[in-house]
Amino acid sequence: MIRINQLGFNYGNNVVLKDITLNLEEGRIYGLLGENGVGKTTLLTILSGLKPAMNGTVEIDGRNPFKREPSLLSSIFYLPDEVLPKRRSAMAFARDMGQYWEKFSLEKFSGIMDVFETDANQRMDQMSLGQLKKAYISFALACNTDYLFMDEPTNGLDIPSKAQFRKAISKYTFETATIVISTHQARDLEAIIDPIIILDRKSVLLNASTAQISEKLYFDYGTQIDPDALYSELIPGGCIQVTPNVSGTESKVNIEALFNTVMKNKETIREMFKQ
Amino acid sequence: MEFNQNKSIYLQIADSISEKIVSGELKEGDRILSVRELGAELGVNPNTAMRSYEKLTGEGIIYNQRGIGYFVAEGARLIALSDMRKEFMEKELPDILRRMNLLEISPEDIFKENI
Amino acid sequence: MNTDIFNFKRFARYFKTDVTEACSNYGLSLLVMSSMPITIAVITGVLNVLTSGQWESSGLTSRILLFLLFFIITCITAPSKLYGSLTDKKEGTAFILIPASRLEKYLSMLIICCILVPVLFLDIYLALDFLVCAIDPTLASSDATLLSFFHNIRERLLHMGTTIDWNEMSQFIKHSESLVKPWMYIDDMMSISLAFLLGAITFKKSKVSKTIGCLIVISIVLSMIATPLITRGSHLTAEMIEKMEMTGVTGIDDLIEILPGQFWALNHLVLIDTINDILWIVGLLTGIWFRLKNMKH
Repeated sequence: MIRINQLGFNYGNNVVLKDITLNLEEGRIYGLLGENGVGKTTLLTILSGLKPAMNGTVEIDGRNPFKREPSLLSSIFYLPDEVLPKRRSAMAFARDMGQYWEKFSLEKFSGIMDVFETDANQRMDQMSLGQLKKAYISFALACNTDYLFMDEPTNGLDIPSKAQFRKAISKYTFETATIVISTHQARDLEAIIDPIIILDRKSVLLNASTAQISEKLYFDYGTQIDPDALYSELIPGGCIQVTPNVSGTESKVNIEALFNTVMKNKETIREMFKQ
Repeated sequence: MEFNQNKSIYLQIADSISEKIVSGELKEGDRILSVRELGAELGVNPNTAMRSYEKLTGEGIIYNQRGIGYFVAEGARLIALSDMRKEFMEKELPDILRRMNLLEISPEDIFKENI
Repeated sequence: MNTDIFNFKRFARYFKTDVTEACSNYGLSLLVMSSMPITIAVITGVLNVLTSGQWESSGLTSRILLFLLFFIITCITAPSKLYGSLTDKKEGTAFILIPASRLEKYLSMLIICCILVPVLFLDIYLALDFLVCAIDPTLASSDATLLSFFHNIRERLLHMGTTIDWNEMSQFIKHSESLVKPWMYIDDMMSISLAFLLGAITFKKSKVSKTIGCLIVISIVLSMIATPLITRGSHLTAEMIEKMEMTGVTGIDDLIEILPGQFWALNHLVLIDTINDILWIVGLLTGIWFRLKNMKH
């Protein structure tokens, strides 16, 4: 269980996180969305213990990650956007580093590498960016940690790998794990992330499961623009619009449309999703 | 799996399973994929797959045998068939009739050409 | 002990990882540096053949100087080659997130920088020098090896002291005898390694030159503070001069006898040097610890 209470962080005068209060529960794959510069990466690095909270508190299983206690570090894996090309094969790296994470499984690592069709015996510093990223994603999943934080994991992946990534995430993550994935490539991860968290510089704009979202909002693909629509956008063949869900019909959540709706109607959305 | 734009993903997954049962691809008593396996195959969140299974379980189409997995229930085909018929009549047919009306196609035209 | 602070098994594992990394990042450079006796012998030999047509090796003095030069270069550059990358975002992130305790990472770092690297360097360098001397006909005498030189350094210095026969400086010779105690050099060397290790994990760029700069500034400040302390009372008052004239001072021994407590710094040279070294080492160790603790990425 992750409890974030009134978290604040700034680089000098540049406020990147302010008054963030969130509880993250186990068995979920959270999608962390936000415009550029709202501190998605900063939030993940604070959760991983790389930076201290400047205001407020962050607790993972009741402990402060910045203390970097090995027992907590070994239940966390953080996959940064930019990863390190080691001067050795991915397999040798995994065998060595895997020892530090109790539940790490080398078979799982090579299994996921196979799913990604990437050769684990290749040296990491000779891999392409995408291959390197896939090696690290495989390692991250094979660590079987309770907490897995990924910063823009699909950056650098080619189109087939993105589908493989979704499959790997739903197949190989721990059932009780708490996973947080930050992304601005909402479409890559649309079916996989749930709940969805949307941040801005001042607060958490939305933290809701897709079930809650489709209960409150209706995503309509049609030709007629509804005057009550919170957001509408022309697409080839008609338009997509988001309206408050009055009929109770469950529609498919379109993350891009949701994101734009939330950005345009911050207060309305906050009221709507208030518990 | 390519998802249709409008309908909630978990409903679409449930529909596709029902369809397989109606077509006979899945038989009563057959074991179906676990939540994880289904999620992995479709690349969707396991919780979404779980919701589909919960819906189908609620309708009596599948059942969960603890510790073993999910199976197609006895009499599932009939339930699925009547559900799908109802949905066709209520949701799909009105759209088709509206289009036929607009394009001035009579039911006879269709049956003349296809049979 | 709380396993979050130290766990022997985990430490052993971490140390192994750290040594493996060190070998791949710095192993070759260390080998090149410690193989210098061969390089020096070949270069001097070849140059001499070219100029005078005769194979001749470099003498002991030049080899001692070169040895000191390479040893210091190694102590100064090794930390930034080994751990300088920790200031880099990617490397630093990976380092912080390895599930081992801070104490384990800290100890491993210190053992590698302050023990493993210098000991390996010394062993290889002295062994190769020994080998070169054994092979080279112009250096046939075993006295010419660096190893025997350092082995006999204490005797040599004492011998030098007595042959010069500075009777009046006997006090100094007593001190120089203590100065030759080997640990005095070991702690100096440790301070160097530690200072450059702290520099390596603190400065993002030009780690070595910035560390040297800082050391110069600190030395200036410290000597400004320390000079009045050490020379306290050593300026002569009219009363003292009168006393000296009366008794007839001939050497520093007499001076110290006449003015007890005035030359305390001279009397306690070894003590002062030891305290100074201990303070430096403790300060640097603390600095490195807190730098690790507060490292952010």
